[in-house]
Amino acid sequence: MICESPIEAENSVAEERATTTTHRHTQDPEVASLVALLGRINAASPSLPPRPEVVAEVMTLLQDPRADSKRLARLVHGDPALAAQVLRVANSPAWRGRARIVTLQQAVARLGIGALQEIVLSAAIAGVYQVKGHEDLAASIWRHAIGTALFAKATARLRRRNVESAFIGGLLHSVGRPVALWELMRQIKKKRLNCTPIAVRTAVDLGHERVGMALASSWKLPDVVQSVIGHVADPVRATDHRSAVFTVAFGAEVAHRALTTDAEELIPKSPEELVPFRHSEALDLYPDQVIAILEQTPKVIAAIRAMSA
Amino acid sequence: MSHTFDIAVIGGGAAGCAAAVEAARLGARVALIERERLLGGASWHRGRLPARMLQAAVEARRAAGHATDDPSSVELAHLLPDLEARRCARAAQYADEVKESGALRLHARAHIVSATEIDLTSVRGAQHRIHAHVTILATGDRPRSLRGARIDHEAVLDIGSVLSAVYLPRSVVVAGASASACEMAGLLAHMGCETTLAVPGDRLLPDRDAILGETFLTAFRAAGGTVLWRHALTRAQKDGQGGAICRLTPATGGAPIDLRPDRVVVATNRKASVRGLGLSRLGVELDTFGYLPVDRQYRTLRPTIRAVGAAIGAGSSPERVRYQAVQAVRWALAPRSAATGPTQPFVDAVLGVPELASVGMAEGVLVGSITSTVIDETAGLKLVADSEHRVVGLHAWGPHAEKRLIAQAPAVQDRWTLERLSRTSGALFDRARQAAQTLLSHGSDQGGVALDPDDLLAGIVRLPNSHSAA
Repeated sequence: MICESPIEAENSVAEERATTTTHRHTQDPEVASLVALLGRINAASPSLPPRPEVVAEVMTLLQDPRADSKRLARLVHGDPALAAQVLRVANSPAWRGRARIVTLQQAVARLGIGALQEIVLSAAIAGVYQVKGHEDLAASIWRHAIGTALFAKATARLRRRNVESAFIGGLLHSVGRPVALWELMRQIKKKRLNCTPIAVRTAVDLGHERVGMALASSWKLPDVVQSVIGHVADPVRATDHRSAVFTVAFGAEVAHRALTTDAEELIPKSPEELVPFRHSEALDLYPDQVIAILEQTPKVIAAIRAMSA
Repeated sequence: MSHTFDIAVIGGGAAGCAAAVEAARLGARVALIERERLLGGASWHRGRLPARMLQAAVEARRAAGHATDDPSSVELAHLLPDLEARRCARAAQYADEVKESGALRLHARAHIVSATEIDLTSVRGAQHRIHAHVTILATGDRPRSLRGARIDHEAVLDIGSVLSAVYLPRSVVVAGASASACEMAGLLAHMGCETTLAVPGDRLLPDRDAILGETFLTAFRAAGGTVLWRHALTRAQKDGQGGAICRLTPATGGAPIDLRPDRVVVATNRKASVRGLGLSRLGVELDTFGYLPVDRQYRTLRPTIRAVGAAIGAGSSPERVRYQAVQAVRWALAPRSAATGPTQPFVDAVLGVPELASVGMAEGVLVGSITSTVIDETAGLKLVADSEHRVVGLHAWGPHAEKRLIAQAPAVQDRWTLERLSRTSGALFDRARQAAQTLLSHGSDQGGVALDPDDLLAGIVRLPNSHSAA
């Protein structure tokens, strides 16, 4: 019989699990010292990267549905590297139609300003996800962020929620990770610490949320994005924007599965074969709905390849 | 645990919870099946609650003189503080009531296999079959897609998705004339959004007393809103420039109007939310308005399947749908008690500035049956009496309209005589008493038709044109 599990009980189980895991890792003195380093970061820390100007502009445009395409095109034109990146993405299989796009105006006309804003925002933020010496790790974080944004958007649409916060939240949900990694590498070098890669990675896992929150505050991101960054790892703790937080958390789960599973094994033949996702239940997503989201994987993977190349 | 129940209730909103609690109270074995984790219903969690909070925010901003700020700089989340906490609190309240009643709550999707069998699918995909002697559908309603205006929750929104946006739009077209359309258009206009209300017919709030539509119109225009009468939304989509493009086609023919607002809100059509229930296979179809047809005992064409609430077009009044749910359960389990009156007054409220509320009949709804009315402009109150000098309708506008009418609703629901109302003491009845005295002193036409009390209370009488224009 399907009996409803009280939310309180579920919360306490999740909290207990999270607490146990965190406790085990923070008992490792090497990890604990690295996490402590990250704990010093706040919104005013000089360690935080400045908000890219383009991000500020695009965020403003996102707030303004009447922003015209000329303003966005002008913005992108002002940054040749960004313009090249936008055209490259616009010509990728994920977006491109039959004809090749050679100008930004064409890109606007073909893709629409909404999609272009997403591409520009992604391209502008991509710089934050580059960490010298840890390119592979940073790139995998970035691919996962893009996938999360796209799957979160698909989920929001399926649940009849507004899609705009899902994409931005997904794209930025793990922005603390590369920044935390970059800061730890800087501190390790400066203090000549001898740390194992696994300790660094664990410290990033444990400390990135705080760094992300500091960055979100420093960049003055919308409240919903700040809630996502702060609670995506443990959505049951979110008090505000729970729906957006769970949507992004689910998007992150699906993105992880899509990026780590062979295409043949990804989509089950029937709902009964579906391995449940941790956050699908909280969103009341039934197996057929989860499958409908998973079926968007090829399109999302193509977009990830285009935006992370 | 037994898999056989006396009553299975599908839908965990106000109506479903009321049905489950009442059935359990009468000693029945009850299963309450809800597909969402939180009880309370989508209309409350995604519509009514945030709309109420937005109304409070509008009033606060007006009081503070911020109403003319650029709306696109306003984060909606700032206007809806503690929304999640309030949702959870309401859901927990329902959950407690259901648990205390002894009804079994099941978190699953339902598919009705036969008159007495229901297949359940859990959110994890597990399948179960239960048996129920009676099934009560309380599944609410949902937006109906318009051909050419697909709701994408990005540029073309429904009421729920406009309230889950990050920022307010600068300009918006709201299509519809119903309470939810007027609420949303009014609130957005008062927040400084350039708001156009596209009305398919020639009346706002067509199922309410005309004075409420007129009062809304005056306030809406004063807030800068525009009304396009007799224009139906025939197309809406993203414009490729970050906004929307929509086409409004005149009902009388002529050239359509193309507008390019930031957002389009489709609030024009709703229908019973019955997808996946398998009703068609059982011969239970929606009527031409998109709702489940029922008889006076809330039975569908399949007598073991009853339906209540928004699924039968009962509107958004929680009190009304609760009343229907209780009555449906009593008809199923204890028919002798089914005709007893409601325990809660039904007040239909339209949120916004001004707040509108009504209880009972609108003047002119049943031609020839209403004989006298009196309007108190100062108090924002209209009283409607029938040919027997009984109070059959009260309509209020202005601050606390809903609360005022909840206090005065017994006069309508118990069908007080004007004479009794004119003698009623108490400040809450002050203006209604004066209205009754006015009517009595002027006399009234005696030629009308007396109303059927059941029609007055049940709210299931399908009135001419009450849906077609909405």
